[in-house]
Amino acid sequence: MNGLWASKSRIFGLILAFLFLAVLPPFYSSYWVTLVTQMLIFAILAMSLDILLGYTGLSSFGHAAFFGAAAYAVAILSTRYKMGFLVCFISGIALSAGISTIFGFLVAHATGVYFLIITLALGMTLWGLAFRWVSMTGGDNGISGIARPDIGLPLSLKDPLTFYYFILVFFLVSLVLMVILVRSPFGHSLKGVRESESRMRVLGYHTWLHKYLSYVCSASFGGFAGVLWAYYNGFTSPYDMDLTASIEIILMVILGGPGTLIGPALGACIIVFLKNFISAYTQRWLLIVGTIYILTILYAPQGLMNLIKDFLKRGQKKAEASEGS
Amino acid sequence: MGGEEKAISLAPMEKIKSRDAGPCLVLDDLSIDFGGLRAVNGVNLTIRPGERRVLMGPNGAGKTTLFNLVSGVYQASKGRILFLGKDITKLPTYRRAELGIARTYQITNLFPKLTVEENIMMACQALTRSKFVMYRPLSSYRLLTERCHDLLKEFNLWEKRSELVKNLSHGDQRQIEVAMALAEKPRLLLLDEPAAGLSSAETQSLTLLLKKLDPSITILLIEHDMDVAFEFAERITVLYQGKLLTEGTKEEIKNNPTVQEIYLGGE
Repeated sequence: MNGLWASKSRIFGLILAFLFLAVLPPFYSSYWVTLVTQMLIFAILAMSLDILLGYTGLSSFGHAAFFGAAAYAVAILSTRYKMGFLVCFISGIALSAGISTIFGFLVAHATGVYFLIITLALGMTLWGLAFRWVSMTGGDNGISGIARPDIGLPLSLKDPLTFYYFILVFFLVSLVLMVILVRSPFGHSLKGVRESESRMRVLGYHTWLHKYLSYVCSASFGGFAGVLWAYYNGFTSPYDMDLTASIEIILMVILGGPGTLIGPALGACIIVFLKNFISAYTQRWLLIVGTIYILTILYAPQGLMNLIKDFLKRGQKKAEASEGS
Repeated sequence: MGGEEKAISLAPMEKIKSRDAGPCLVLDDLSIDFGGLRAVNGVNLTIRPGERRVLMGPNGAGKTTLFNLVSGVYQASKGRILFLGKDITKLPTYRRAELGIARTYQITNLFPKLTVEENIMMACQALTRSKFVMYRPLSSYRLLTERCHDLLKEFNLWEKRSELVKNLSHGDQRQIEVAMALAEKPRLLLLDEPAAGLSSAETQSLTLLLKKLDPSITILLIEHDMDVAFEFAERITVLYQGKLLTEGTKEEIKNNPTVQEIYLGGE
């Protein structure tokens, strides 16, 4: 009996996701296809932060910096040096990963508020670099004219639907990679660091190293999303990596449910949708972000995914109880 | 599966065996200051391998601080700590655990939002190289899983393995404290009041379990409960205001007038 409800609802969720992500997109309007593409990219970004925030318990206020750094790498290489997709893709992720291996030495000692402040400061230095290094980054104007990649297939990625499926493949690959990561012994150790770092040390874990590696993994997947964003948007600017961007990613994770991967992906979809939907009516998007943040903390501090999980558990208990009577 | 066998590096018994003739733990003039307060003051202590030693003393005597010094949570201000002949005074906590020192906490320190099984598993994989593996599911490590399941059964936690630790009773949580320390197959086990807050039945079963432990494990136990202390220990060390007051067999301690005065209230 145990887990039947859970597995049933999981299958239901998978069918639903398959339907909306793989089968139905050809029937969406091109506006919706573009919107869902954007959702997937931010879903990768939110999941990447979840490794750090949800699994390791470290809230980073500078995650957008890795997203932006990878986007800039693609922008500069593809517009100025006319590099192909593969070079841009690898360089983008390598840049984010490389920066995080250096930043990691500064942040991995810290926890809690101190971690938050250090990541905020480091994120802002990268933002400042993007903003002021005009000869390299174009400054406030950013870099435009990033063409959709030519991947050597007869299909053109200029077509929104083809590009959507292209992104979907990357989304699935990153999802699988991250699921493998969090289910591995290493992923398990991250949860331990989140729950009690002092106990982990006494058990024989060099917790600094686990936090450091978690930070690098998280940043690398953030870079993964950044690469796709540059190709999607065709344009990068310092606003991709400012504080607001970092806070939005945190909100996606918290809204969806930290430590669940799928939750933050769901949170990303909701935030991206609301952002596009609401900005058609008002300029005050940040006001709405703040409201959602407060409502989440008040009514669903565990996030949507954990709310759903609790609901299913209660449903199963009820089913078991009625069967027993 | 051969690779897995190799990957599991248990406490390095082979490396240390040649030194087994010497003492397991030596504290040499060990002191620590917190600001103006000298919480542990020049303690000398020698514990031989396989010994069961109880550490007694009134509140504030420095017992838990002594544990924190041995396990590496605090760094000593003065003095040395030798473990199996090796100077570990400056080693970080995780290195001491690798050498075979495990401990429990007086105030339960577990992973509250993980299940019982996940808690024990954390301890099982702690001293293996597989803890850094990122590409293979934890559940596929058969030896680790078996060890974890054995421990769950031994501690009567099998039925509760899928429960979150925060939802368990205090007694069960204390059991997990001990189970996690034992999961690492330690050479030296530091138990900080494992019976604190347990019912008398729970205390009894814990005492039984401790008595059944592998005699090659050296155990240092902090205990307020006289019955547990006197039943379990061969020798007893009494700390008072950070200093070593006296050391001796049960009878010697029972009949020591100073101990009676400060600890037993002059009964």
